[in-house]
Amino acid sequence: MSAHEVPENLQEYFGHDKVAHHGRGGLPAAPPAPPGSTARKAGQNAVADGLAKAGTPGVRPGAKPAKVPPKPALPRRMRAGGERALFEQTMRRLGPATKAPPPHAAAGPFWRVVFAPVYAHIPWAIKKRMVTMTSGVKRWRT
Amino acid sequence: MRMGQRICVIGGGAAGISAGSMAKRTDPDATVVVCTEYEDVAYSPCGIPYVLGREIPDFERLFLAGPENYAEAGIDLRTETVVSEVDTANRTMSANGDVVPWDKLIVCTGWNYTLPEVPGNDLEGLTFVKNIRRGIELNETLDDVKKAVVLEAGPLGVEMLTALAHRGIETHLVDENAWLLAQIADPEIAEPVQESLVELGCNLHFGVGLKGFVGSGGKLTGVETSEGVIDADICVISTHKEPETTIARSMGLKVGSTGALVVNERMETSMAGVYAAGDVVEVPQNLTGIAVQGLTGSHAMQQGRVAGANAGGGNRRYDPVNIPWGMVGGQVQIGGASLGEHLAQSLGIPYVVGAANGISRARYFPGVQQVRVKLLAEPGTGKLIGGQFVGGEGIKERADFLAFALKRGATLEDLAWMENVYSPPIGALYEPLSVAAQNGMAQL
Repeated sequence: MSAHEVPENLQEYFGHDKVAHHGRGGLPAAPPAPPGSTARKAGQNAVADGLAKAGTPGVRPGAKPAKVPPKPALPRRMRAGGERALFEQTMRRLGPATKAPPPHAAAGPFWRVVFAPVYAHIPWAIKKRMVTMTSGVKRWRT
Repeated sequence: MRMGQRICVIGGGAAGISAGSMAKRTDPDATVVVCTEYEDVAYSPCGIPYVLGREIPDFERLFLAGPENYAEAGIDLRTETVVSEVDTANRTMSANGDVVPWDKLIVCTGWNYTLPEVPGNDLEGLTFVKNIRRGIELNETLDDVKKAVVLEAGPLGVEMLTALAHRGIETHLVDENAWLLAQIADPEIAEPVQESLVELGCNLHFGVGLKGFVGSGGKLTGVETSEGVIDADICVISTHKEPETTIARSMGLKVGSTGALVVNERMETSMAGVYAAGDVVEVPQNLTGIAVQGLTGSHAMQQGRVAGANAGGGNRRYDPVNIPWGMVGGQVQIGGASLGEHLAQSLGIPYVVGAANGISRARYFPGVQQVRVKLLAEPGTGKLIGGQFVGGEGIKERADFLAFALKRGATLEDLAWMENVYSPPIGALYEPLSVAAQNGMAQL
């Protein structure tokens, strides 16, 4: 091994492993919660319970944290449809430079054919004013 | 003797726990009740993929505190407690059947994955990484899994791709977008991560739509896409974070364009005395003012602190967000803050780009890694719009720094002339961020 090749095994190379290279060494990382601590106990309880239940049937909290969203109100539908069409348009433009495939066309025809091209022609200053007027999160300090 | 107010928190995640703790600290006389429907609090759900991927040896390490710590702090923490109803007229809530009065309420009900409305979405084998005990159970079954599909390449999807590949599982990504992390990253920034995932053995299917889940005997056997069926024992659903607003809607709280709750900068909802924080709220993006939702655990924690302080009688404000983000995909780090080119172009925001390829340490120092930087700035003024980074190390620090620079309205010129640490083991003579800014100035 040449003098310039530093091995992964620092102990072997330096005779100790207290070397702050490869981003390691220096101050030790915080150890796991000490035995008897509340965090350790909470972890042990959770692991024991999880292992006991693994593979057994039963309804448990957090087992399926997924939902079909409630039927969205008009502002959300408009935002979701418009955003998707704009993203798809931009992905088609930027993707080829890295040989990315075209996105799956999920935006509806109105959003793709009418909304996205029209939106593209509105100057950002006007669009920003529209956002400020219509957004629910207005009047925040910036 | 002064009667303390009652502050109730619904939810025991990062936002709920920090809200309860801060409320108690701000108003020590208050009775603070935190209700969570789950068994545990004060652990890191974000660490779950790394235990599943065997980068962290056990789940116990993800716990930061136990329920006793909250009792000692004077907080009435109620686990496995479902708040099923809130009476806004009488200011009470029903928690596991008990009527609990409140003077101030903080809604931190978090989020759920968006469940795709396709055939087979109730099959056994659809997998969700969120709750630690269910993660412990999942870990026990992964040794029997031969093939897995990850649905959508958001941050958790990327982490789970890496984790499953570490476990030697044949892993496929199905994503309707054109590249990895397309909602936040640009293609040339995502590319090295994609390459690293492919090197790990992941099969990436971009531009592919989900048509359904197929199974037999109620169990998943494959994922049907626009390009055919991919065999799978499990499918990890890592879709959009849908805000959990069931209780909030029943209370009549105003919902915004993301489907999350509208709050003001004090994290107060449309109802006086009712606050909200975390993934259930939307907040403005700093540059555009557009409402955004479903951010990170650190955002949830800070929002919870603001909500808790204000519920306790304080007067704190939460700022519009620049959303620094970062993660590891395969063996590559990726991150950024605010807008990238994809988002800027989609919104029609004018920009110039300053890009550079640099290094993380002195070029001769062992472990030196490439760092790719891409900055976006306003034409003319050079005011920063956002940026992205990809490389072997030092990405998180740059994303944090950029978010702070954005918050302070910094320009390309500010970064071009910034001071930087030069020390061979930890930093190169030329800071890549500064070089990218110099390149960007040439475009102004």
